[in-house]
Amino acid sequence: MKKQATLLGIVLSVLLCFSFVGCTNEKIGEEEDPTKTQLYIGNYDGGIGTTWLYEAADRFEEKYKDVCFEPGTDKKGVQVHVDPDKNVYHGYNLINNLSSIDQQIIFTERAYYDEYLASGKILEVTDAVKKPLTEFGETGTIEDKIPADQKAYLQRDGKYYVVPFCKTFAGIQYNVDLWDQNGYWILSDGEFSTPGSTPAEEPRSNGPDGKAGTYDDGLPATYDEFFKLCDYICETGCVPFAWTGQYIQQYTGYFNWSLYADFEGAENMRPNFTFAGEVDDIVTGFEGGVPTLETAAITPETGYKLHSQLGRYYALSFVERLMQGNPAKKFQYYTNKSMGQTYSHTAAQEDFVKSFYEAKPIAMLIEGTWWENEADSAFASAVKTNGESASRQNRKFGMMPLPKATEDKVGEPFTVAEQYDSYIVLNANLKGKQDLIDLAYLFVEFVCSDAEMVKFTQSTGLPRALDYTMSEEELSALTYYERQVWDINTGAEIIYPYSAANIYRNNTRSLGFGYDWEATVSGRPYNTPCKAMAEDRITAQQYFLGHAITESAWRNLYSADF
Amino acid sequence: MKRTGQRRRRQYLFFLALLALPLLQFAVFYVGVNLNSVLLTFRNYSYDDGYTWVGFDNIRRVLISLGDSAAMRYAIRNSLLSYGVSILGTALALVFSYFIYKKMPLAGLFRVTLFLPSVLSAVVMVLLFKYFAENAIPAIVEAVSGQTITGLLSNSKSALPTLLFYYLWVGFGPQILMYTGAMASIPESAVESAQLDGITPLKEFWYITLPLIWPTFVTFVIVGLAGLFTNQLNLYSFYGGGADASTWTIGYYIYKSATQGKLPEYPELASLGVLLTMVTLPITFGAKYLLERFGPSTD
Repeated sequence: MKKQATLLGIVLSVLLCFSFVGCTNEKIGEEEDPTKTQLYIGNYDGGIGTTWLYEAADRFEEKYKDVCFEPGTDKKGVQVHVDPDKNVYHGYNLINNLSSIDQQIIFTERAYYDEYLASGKILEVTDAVKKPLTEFGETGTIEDKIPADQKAYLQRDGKYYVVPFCKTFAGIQYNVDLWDQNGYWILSDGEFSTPGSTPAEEPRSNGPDGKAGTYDDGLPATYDEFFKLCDYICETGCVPFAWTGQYIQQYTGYFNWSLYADFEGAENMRPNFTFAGEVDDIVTGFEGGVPTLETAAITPETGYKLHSQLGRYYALSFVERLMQGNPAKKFQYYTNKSMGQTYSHTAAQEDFVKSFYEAKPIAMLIEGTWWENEADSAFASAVKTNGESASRQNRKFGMMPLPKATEDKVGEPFTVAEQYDSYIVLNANLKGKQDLIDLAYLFVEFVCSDAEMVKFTQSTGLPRALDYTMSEEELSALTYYERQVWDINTGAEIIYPYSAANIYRNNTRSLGFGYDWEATVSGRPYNTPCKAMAEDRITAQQYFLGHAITESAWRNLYSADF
Repeated sequence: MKRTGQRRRRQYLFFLALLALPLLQFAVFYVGVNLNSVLLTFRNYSYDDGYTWVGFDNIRRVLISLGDSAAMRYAIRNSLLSYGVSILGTALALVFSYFIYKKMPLAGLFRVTLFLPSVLSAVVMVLLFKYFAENAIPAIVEAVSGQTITGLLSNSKSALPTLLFYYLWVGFGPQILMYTGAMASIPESAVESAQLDGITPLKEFWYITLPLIWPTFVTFVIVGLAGLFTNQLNLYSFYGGGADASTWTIGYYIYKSATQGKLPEYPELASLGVLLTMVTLPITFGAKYLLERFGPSTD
């Protein structure tokens, strides 16, 4: 018995050793090269992926292979270890993990800046942000590339603690191939195009921007045109919309914000974050179904009025029409799967990509701009069954500038909201290790150089959250969809949902670009408008009125901050 | 004498070493955390000013919110409903356990069906049930009636009943394990003697089995009551942070808000927790007293 126990003890000890070894390998990813300085990088491996970082790390290693980063040692060059993970480096979790991980630089998203500052777990990056990028053939600094709204928010007493990373938008993604094939383009005479026709053969309408010769030509300019198009899509045997059912609240919630932002425009949206200024479209009631409006000065005390801003009503009215479909013709504008809890965002992406070759193609997808990058495996699978023409490079998708709620809004610029608080942060575990801090700064400067940002966009199809340009030649490497995202990035008005206002910073979860669109209708709470409208036939007006906040409720929630 | 003292000292050291880690863990993660929660109730946090004392302001705000918010009213209702279901589950678990204990027909099948959810990981179980409720049930309904229905967990009208059913079902495992264990320890002589006197199975359950396993029963009732406002009804496992507002429980609301919340939001959540503890505490102790005082006697 004693012998057996001893044997068992030895076996368990050996197994334990193996498990330790396993942990080490997993964490590091590759064997350490003792002749080089080690740099550990963590990456939130979401829609943007990690391929771009592996590529950047290789270039960095190559560029500095002969440089010694630790004076007084024989080490030459740098070995970059990249660890991709969806949980550890996600903004919510990262803050708890920072003290216990080895990673020195982390690319993350949904990292709430003030929370990170309060934790004291990140390192100041001012030196890297303000240093001229001469090393990379540039004269300016990273600071010069940070958009003004971001700069005002990120700079604290002249210091920076994070560097903006990636810029993403949410909205309607559409299948351009299907538009061409079925003739979904709207012509200048208001009719739909002939399948397979070109703009030269049939001039297209000007689209929501009201200008000819731009990327939105032939797309619906107003909500009315949009839903007429949805009817037409149904008539041709296709499904207008899909979105994830598993994350329905998040994805459709962000979509509501996009509709809201596009209606209001940057100026009218800004008080939602700054709680300062004046807005001229606060709904005070409805007369015969038409909203009556007033102008209101917005301060932290009167912030509740923004819950009754006209843009919210129009966003809800769009969702109502989308969920209602066309009862007279028995058209439903979305796939049933989108209302199911097991329909993930990747499943929706796959259906969007592959349904083109099936009986009922899906025309549009509610998603973020990262979707095409995230759907790489769906494209690969489509290539297997349908040949090379189904590849990501050969397929044509677009991001649709949102149609305008009313005719008089046509011609106003497309307004999109930047999302996800995506940053580069340096772990405070570097504190006291000046050589490594300098190396980390250098890597940050490297990935923020224009050349590297161009390569990032070419690899992921997404713009970085800093200002830079791309030449026509560089843009030619992008897919059709990526090119459209770039056009939106450079042509649309971009809202940065950040502000230094106390009330906003202290209550971002409830006041920020979250996905909660809470309302109380007939005593019942709702938080997902599209579900309320589909299941309980709640109207946009009912939802909007139930979404309003009273002054007393507002005071109760936020008076500590004013 | 000296050797005995040394041995005792070593024994004390051994027990101390054995208990040190769990005690430390208890002190940090239970006492410390709860103490901090109580302190937070009376403080506010802002990123610029840090913590400030605000007296009972947080409690006042939470009380107003509880009255104002339909979501909170639904959450309280659902928490109470969940407890009602857990009581029903306890009663049913007793019956099933008795069924198994008496080795009645199909007792083995009952044991496997009801205990299975406890054997599998909670996440796996949730995933299996989710696919069953979302995909299998609509497919069956369509095959039988030709009607298309939304998944039971997606449709907000059927979501709560489905969640309650799941909660009831997965709750059987541990209860049945404990009850059958307690029933197995009932002296056979007492049962045989009653059977010789011609006792019916129902009377045997009422007069012999239930009194003898009463402490186990009381434990489940009291533990359920203590967790009245922390019970999430598995919402986070099913929906993450995106559950329909009409299905929320207080436990889910607090958990979701704490995981997604920021430092300035914690004081209000802590206040809600403290407030609900003040409600739960007397109810729990009162129920314990009443159940022990008026429960069946073994005499």
